[in-house]
Amino acid sequence: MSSEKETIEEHDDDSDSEPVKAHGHDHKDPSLAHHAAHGATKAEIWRVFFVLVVLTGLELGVVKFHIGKTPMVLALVGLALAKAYAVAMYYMHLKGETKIMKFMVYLPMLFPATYAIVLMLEAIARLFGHRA
Amino acid sequence: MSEAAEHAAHEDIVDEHFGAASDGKVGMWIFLLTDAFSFSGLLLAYAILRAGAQPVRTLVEGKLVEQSWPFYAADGEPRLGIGFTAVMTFVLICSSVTMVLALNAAQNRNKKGLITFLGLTILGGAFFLCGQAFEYHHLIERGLTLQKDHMMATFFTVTGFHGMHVFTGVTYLTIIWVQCLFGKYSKGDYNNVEIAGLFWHFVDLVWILVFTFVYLLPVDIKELGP
Repeated sequence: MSSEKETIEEHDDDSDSEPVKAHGHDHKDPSLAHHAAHGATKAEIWRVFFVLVVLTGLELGVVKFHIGKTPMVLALVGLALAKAYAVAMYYMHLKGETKIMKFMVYLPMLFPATYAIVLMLEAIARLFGHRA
Repeated sequence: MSEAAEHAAHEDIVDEHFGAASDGKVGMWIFLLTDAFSFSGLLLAYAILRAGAQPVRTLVEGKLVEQSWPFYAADGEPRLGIGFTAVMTFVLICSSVTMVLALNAAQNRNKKGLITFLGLTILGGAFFLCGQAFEYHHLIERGLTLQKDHMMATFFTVTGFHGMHVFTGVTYLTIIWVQCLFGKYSKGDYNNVEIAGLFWHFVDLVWILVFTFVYLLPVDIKELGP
């Protein structure tokens, strides 16, 4: 019988493919609140996609229409960081993770960020500092 | 023992979701951080090399232009095709969307949706790799090899390192996809799909940054006149 086969299949697989049992209860009951904590809704997914496409379009626009070097650099960096933030927060679901998980991701990234800022300040000081 | 602990001991739970995130998820995030450091190192090196580069003068369509980073090649053509790469960027973003939709399907125990969206993600990644190969071929044909100058050396290193991640990601996702065909991950056990998704989104995220800093930012030219 097919139902028998199903049960046998379920037990033959390794523990990973069994219905997830966590937090002390079976996940067979579809509690929407629980799932919301673990996944993005379809509407959210498409909204973020739309934002990413718009931001990419803006990036291309900034390059195409010459707005001056400094505004271009600032705009491009800002847009890129915004896109990265959107992907990390919503697609990688960092927004729904615990505080400590977010900390775990932000804290180490302060190092390259600091290095980048120091490099930029140094370059600016070296190139434009003498003309005081 | 507390009541909860007693209950847990009785139930013989495979405790893969202790706390809020599984071991695998935490592990993948930590790995992605180390990977982010690698890419940060490459991008910062690129920035340092670019800042220290001597301005280059080339003839572009009869006009003499000066660039801090030789964006235009000797034949007057831009070295990097932004339009083509914009399409590649869009495809990679789309593959990120299909990845999230695949995870969404897995969470809703929708086997068919999972297989479809995961398959589309793999195709998107493969398309990106083909585009990258095509671009490399085109550049090398014009003599713009890794040995040419600073710009090409950093270009090939950064995009090559990223391309390797795309290739690894495609392989990784294909293995997961084959497992999905056999019924795995669509019975509520979507953790491995989520972890693979994290890697794929990271690949997309890095490309967003690479596209901006390597392709778009260097486009600054100062015309010096005819």
